[in-house]
Amino acid sequence: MATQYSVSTQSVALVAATAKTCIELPSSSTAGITIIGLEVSFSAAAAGSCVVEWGTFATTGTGTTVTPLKYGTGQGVAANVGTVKIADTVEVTTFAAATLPSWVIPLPGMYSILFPAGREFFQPASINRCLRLTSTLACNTRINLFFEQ
Amino acid sequence: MATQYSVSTGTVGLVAATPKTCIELPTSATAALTVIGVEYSFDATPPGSVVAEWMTFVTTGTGTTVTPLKCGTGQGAAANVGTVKINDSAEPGTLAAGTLPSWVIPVPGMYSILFPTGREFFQPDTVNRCLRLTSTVTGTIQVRIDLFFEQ
Repeated sequence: MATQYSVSTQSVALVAATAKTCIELPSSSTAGITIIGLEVSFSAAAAGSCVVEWGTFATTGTGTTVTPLKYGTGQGVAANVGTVKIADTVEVTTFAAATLPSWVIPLPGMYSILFPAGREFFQPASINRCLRLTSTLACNTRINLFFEQ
Repeated sequence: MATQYSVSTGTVGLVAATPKTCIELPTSATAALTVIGVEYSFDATPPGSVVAEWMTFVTTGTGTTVTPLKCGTGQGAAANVGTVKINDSAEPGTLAAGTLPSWVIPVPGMYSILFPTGREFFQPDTVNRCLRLTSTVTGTIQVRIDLFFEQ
C-alpha cells in the first residue's frame, strides 16, 4: 500500500511577468514519486492569467526547505525524496519545460486535479522536477501538491 | 466499514482581514479520523479572495459546540472525536499552519473537493486541527462550509 505525502507552500507572492519556482520536488536516487494531485489557488481579483509549468532543473535554487507532510493513513515512513523546497527566492538553473504538462490558469481563478488510481503522473528516481509559476499580474498563490510512494 | 460524518457550519460571517476559525475538529485520545472532503461556498459579490487554512491549535476557542452528523449509511455509532465547534467568536490559542494544506479561493466563487478512496487526509489521534478563514473583501461576507470525515 502506497503512502501519501503533501507539500504545501502556504502563501507565495508572485510578481507580474516574473517566473517563480514555487516547489522543488527532486526524487531521490533510490525511489520514484507518483504525483496524485495538485491544487493551485490565487488571490488575484483582477483579470489576468498565470502559467503553471512542470519543469526539470539542473541545480537547486534558494528556497525554504520543507519535509513533506505524511498526509494519508500511512504515518510510519518519511518520504524518500531529495531536498524539497518551496518559494524559491533564487531560481533553479537550466529550467526546461520540454514535454511536461503545463497550464495557463485564468484569473481570478484556481485549479485542482486529483488523478484516479492508475492514471497518476510518475516521476522516476534521480529526476529534478519543479513547479514554476508566471503570472500576468501581482498576486499570491497557495499550492498543495500530493504524491505517493 | 468506515462510518461517515459531516460538520456543517451554516452561515458564518467573515469580516475583512480578520481571521476566523470556522470549524474546530480535534481528534480524541482513542481514535484518529480521515477527512474525505470539504466544501467552501461564499456569498461575496465584489471580487476578492478568501484564505482557507488547515491549522493546529493548543487551546480551544469560544464557539458553538456541535455533534457531527452521521451523514452516511452507517447510523449506529457517534463520532469519536473531541469537542467539535463551529463559528468561533474567540479564536483558539497558539494556531499554527505548519505544512498543512491551504487555499486562497477567489470570490465570488466556491470550492469543493472529495478525496477518492485511499487518498484521504488523515488526522492522527490527539491532534487539534481547525479550519480558519480570512477574507479580503471589504465588509462582511458569508461562508458555508461542509466538512466530511470517516472513522
